[in-house]
Amino acid sequence: MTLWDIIGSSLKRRWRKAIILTVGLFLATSISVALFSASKAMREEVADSFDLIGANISIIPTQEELSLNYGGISLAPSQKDTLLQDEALQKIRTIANAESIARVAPKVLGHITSDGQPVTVVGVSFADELKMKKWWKITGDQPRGGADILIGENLAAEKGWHTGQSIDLNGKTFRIFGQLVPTGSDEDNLLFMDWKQAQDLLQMQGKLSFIEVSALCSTCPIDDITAQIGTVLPGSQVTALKETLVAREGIVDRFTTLSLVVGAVTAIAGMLLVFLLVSSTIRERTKELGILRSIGFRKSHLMQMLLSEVALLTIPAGAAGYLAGLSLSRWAAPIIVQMDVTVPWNGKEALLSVGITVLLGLTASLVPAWRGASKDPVEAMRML
Amino acid sequence: MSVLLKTDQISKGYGLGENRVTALQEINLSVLEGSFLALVGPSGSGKSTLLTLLGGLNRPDKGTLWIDDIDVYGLSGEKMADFRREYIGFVFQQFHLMPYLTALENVMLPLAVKKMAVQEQRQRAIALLERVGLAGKEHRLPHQLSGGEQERVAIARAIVNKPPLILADEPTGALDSQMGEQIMELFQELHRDGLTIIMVTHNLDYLRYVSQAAYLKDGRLQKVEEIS
Ligand SMILES: Nc1ncnc2c1ncn2[C@@H]1O[C@H](COP(=O)(O)OP(=O)(O)OP(=O)(O)O)[C@@H](O)[C@H]1O
Ligand SMILES: [Mg+2]
Repeated sequence: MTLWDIIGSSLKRRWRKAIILTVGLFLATSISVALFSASKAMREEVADSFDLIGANISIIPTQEELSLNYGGISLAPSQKDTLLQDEALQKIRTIANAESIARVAPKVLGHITSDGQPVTVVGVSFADELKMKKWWKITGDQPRGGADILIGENLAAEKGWHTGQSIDLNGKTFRIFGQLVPTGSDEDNLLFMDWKQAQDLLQMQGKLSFIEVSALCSTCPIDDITAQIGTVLPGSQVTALKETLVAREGIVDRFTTLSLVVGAVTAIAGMLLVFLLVSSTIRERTKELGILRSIGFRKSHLMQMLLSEVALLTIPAGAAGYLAGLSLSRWAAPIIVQMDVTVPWNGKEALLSVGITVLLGLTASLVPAWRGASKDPVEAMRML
Repeated sequence: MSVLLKTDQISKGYGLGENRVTALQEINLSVLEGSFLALVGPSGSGKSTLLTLLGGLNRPDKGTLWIDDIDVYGLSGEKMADFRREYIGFVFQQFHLMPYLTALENVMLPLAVKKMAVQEQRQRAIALLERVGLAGKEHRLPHQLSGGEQERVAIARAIVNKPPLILADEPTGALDSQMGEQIMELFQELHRDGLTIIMVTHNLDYLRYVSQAAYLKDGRLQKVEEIS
């Protein structure tokens, strides 16, 4: 006979209450886990979307004369002395909130003439650009070298160029690795190449037309970043483009708040259930507890027994609750927020939810268990 | 024979204010090792109260109790539980068995909080059940046993830990006279084996089994009689 044998027999005898307690805590845990993991996945998805939406900060040189237009930003390529310098790329990385900066994408803009017609060239860092412009659909290859270029659909049609073709621009040979599927914007008329190549081609060595920055603003205030960049790059105009995500962030924030409230209410309801069930079984067992005290069980032995019983029921409730809650959020989260969210399994969170469930169960049982264990054994044994 | 138990001026009352009832007044009692003492007296005279006090199941308002030179009421709550486990075996009129444990498990129960191997616990409990005449009924639940049999399980449970002192509160009270006699014979055997027993009884016939009788009235100890 060990304390565990007594616990086992007692649970077997009161299996109905044991099942109600387990199922109740299972439901509470699964609801909380579902809400928590759904809102967490949504928050992460919004953070990821900054990459998807692309740059959310643009930096352009301050200037008066406006002549060139790209992506809604007006530029004056002729005034080369007002352009940004290459060093700007490093300087941006030195701001206080530098860890929030995901990508810094340089742009070099200019015109060249090909077959007597003007072509607008955009020098980019392909590695960053292709990541930031996830909406770009490219037919063709990945860029392989410095001489690889990407062309807009309209430009391709106009010039009769196609993927894989080598073309000559100002006496240099370039290879077209891909064609941009129409985006309906200026991009359809442009020719994209590596920014270093563009600087050479356009005689703009060391100069940049503008810079796009993508910052992970779920972790920082974007206005601070904008101000910090303005300080390290005097003479430039730093603008935040944040409207796109604000609305979605609002939904996610509201959902997170709702989840916290519902989660807290569920946890409290779960604890109340445990409190009531444990109180009622302990009331039923008052006499038993008195008998055990009379044969020399310590109060602490009784506490250990009563709390172990609860722990034994809450562990499976927590584990099953995590599995069910996560399955629920994997299924429901994309539907609720109309987002393509993924909710991954997470061992640490599984352990945490088991731990929290057990802790809540034990906390709720503490007072009734103590009351039962402390009851005067003589009084207790008088009970029927 | 040495003194196993000695009380000094034990008093105990219940309730508050006008409802205050004095259950025991200044009890001085001394019990030698190996005695079989009957506590007799009218209903409400304080017999059960005294028994719970002697077993450290309750604390008095005043007074001291020494058992084996331990100042029992000087012990903290948890130490008092340890004391009960090692020194006292209680037997109650209502048996007070755990309803969902078998006879064998009920007997092993006091050993559950000791670090004794389960195999040894079983051997001891089976031997005791045989001794009280319940061989073959080890795996019955209390409700599958007669009153006399349940009382035997309770007695086996009381002695499984080899305590020096057995405290029994009307162990025959719920049994018919034939069963009562059998239980008294069992106590007599335990007494002969050297156990010290204090037993509350209403039945003066049973005084022939005991070595001493203590008479209580209105919470006072009237006299202690030697019985040959
Ligand atoms: N828990 C209690 N609360 C209030 N009064 C009590 C309590 N227990 C006992 N008493 C009172 O204390 C006195 C002694 O009671 P006790 O149970 O010790 O008597 P007893 O001799 O065992 O009686 P009986 O032979 O009927 O069992 C009685 O007057 C009883 O009413
Ligand atoms: Mg009584």
